[in-house]
Amino acid sequence: MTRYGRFPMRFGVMALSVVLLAGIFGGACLASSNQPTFGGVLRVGIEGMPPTFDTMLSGSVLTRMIMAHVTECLVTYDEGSAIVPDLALSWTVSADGLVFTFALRHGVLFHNGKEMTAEDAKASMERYQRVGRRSTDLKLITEITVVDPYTLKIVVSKAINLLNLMASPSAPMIVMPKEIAAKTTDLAQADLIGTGPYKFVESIPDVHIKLIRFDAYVPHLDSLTSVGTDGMGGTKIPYLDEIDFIPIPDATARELAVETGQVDMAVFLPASAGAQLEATSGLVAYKELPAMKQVLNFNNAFGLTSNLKIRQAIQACLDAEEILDTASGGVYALDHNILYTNNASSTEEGAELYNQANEAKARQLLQEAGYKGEELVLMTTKSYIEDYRTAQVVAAQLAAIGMNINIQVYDMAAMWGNARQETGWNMFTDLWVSLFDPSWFMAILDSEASPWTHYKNAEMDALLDQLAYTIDPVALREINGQIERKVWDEAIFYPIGDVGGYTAVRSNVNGFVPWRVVRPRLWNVWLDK
Amino acid sequence: MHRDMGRYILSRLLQAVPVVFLVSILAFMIMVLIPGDPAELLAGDQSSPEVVQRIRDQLGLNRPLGVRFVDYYKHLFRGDLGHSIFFNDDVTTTVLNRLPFTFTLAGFAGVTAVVFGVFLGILAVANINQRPWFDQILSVLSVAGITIAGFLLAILLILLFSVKLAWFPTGGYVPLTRDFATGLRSLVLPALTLALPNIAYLARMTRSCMLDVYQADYIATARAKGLAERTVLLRHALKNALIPVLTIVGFIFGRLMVGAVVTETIFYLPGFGRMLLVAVQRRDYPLIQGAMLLIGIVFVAINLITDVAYCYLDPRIRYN
Repeated sequence: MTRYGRFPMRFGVMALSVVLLAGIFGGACLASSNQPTFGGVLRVGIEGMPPTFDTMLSGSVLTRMIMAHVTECLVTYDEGSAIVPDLALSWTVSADGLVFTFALRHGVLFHNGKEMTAEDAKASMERYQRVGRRSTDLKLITEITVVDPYTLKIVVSKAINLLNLMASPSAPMIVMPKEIAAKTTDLAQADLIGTGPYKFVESIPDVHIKLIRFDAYVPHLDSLTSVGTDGMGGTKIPYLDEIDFIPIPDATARELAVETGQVDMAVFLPASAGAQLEATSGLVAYKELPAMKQVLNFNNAFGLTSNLKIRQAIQACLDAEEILDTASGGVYALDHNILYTNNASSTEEGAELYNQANEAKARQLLQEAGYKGEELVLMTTKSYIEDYRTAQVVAAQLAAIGMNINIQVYDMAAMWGNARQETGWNMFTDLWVSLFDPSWFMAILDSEASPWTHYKNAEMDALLDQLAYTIDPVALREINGQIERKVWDEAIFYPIGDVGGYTAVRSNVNGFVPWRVVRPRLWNVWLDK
Repeated sequence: MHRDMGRYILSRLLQAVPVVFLVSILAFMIMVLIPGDPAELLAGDQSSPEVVQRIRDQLGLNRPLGVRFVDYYKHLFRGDLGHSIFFNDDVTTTVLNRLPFTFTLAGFAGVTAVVFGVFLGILAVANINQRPWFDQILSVLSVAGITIAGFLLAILLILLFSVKLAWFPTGGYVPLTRDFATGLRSLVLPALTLALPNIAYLARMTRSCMLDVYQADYIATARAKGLAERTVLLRHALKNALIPVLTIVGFIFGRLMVGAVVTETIFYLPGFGRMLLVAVQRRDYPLIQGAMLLIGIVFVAINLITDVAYCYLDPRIRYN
């Protein structure tokens, strides 16, 4: 049996722990003579309204951006993608990997004043099984039991990487009050109750989304939790009275809003804004790279791209650097990895097939494939300008080797709708959030679940099965390597590389630490008095 | 006259019903034919087909088209426009919430456009002989105003008045009822962005219509009677020139109310146009249908008001 962590010392009220933490922070900040202070309203310009506030349901970056401040999970990721405690103070995993026992923190309050217990955690897990974005991954859970008010037991029928699934920031298994967890359909604003440092107040579409400090929040302070901002974990102190997320869809308008002080922070600013932001006084520009991964998806089941040689020809032809430079406006990184850079499971498999820019080899492969100038359909969208530019450069590079590319431009909904169909298209451009753990391969490559690639392969399914049930990091990396090998050898899709952008912050904002998984993190952030 | 007018208005309202109904049917059919659905967007990319299907079931999107069509109109006749998928509120409330701001901005921009556009058109005609250079400058400015892209104009105004001069905010809206001064400041640049092209267009239109009217015999008669040129211009020429201009004014107000998408996006305003754009992008079918119905009603109402206004401008016009 493995065991993690010890029980913490008890703190009476938030003020006591905050004083302690403020002392720690204050000491660290003395060098900059900028002590954290409570108070103020932080206005953040974001790129639009989230499609929903139901965190379990949606993988939207906008949903995550806001609700990461309102909700918490039992476990989460730190900055280095290790699993760390959040609402669960400690956990044990049985030797056979089938039984997970979580010891919950005591005295954690929901925003409605009710104490969080194992009953709430159980009900939340059950809701996730009903509506969660990755609920299909939880089919192996056979039992969720409340052992006592602060102990939750989960039993699985086969050893799976449950902790990674539970911590995944793009499909978080948050804990909510059991009365709300009983609801299945989309939640009303009054139901958006969590345990996080900020509480949800209101959303007025196209005006603002307002959060206020949760005064009864007790920052996690124990031997396993880092002090300060650390991924989605660490100690989170809500210094701000209020956070106002203001939807400003146009990137130029968002940039001008932060330059003039209309907002204190602006996220998702394009690379083209970098020079102006860096030259503007009173502003700090954080270059965020990687922000997203630019990908070219192939339709492995239809027409010309069902032919391996054609896909390999495209793979050989593409000059990833030229594509990324144009698409990103100059903020990019060449990276063959499918997973988040520096992820412990990433390997070098396939690196030699990346960024070949080899027209001669591509022409040879086209000849072997018997290509005679037939049309290939490349779908793209202007919803993200990087996608559109990528399509243009890809088409130009492929035209140079004699391929006949028909670019079709759609809005996002239409493109995704078309991509789900097995026919009618050959390639489409896509932007992925950087994948945090290998289990995402199941969503992309599984022959039953694959939404885009229409790739069906028994050998890959067997590898994915193995992946789902592997916990040992060394073994995980080995299997991941085999999957990456297949992705590159069979040109299932082409990860072109990383594109970046900027977050701009006014200089009266302190404590901000950018992190591309959740942008922005506003705990431990304070305003100058 | 009032009885005839009353009958005319009633008849137009009755004629509007099938028109608006047709608009709603077209909106339903168009949205069904376009690929993509809201379940995909709710779930996010790389979601499994099972998750997307579950959301579709929850939203009732898997029901046969005929059932959805009948169900929609059953609710419509009860005054229920349905529930917005992404705004998570009933469509009637969602749409009505947008109207105060939209009417305010449209009113502000529209009145500005009419007052200045008509005035500049009159001024151009009044100076056409004595100061022809004035008329030429106005012509050039009119062409520039009509052709400049809305988003470019908005950004230029922001750069000048918000960034350089710091006179107005870059965007956002504060309701006038909450803080009149701040709310008014927040409306100036968006209203200007909407008004300037319309000022240019109305100026040209007014100038052109007045020059046509100036050829009429009754103008020559008025001059022959010894009336001052100002009286000829304002009392005799303008009233007749305004009839075609009024048609354009009606169209402008309609477009301002429902079509100011670019301006609302750049100035991040909670307007009707922006709401409709997002609804289309996200395939929020109930909201799109509700909004299209409202657009149909708005344009029918504006056309009716315009037609009634004709009678007051030109006593010869009667509807009977």
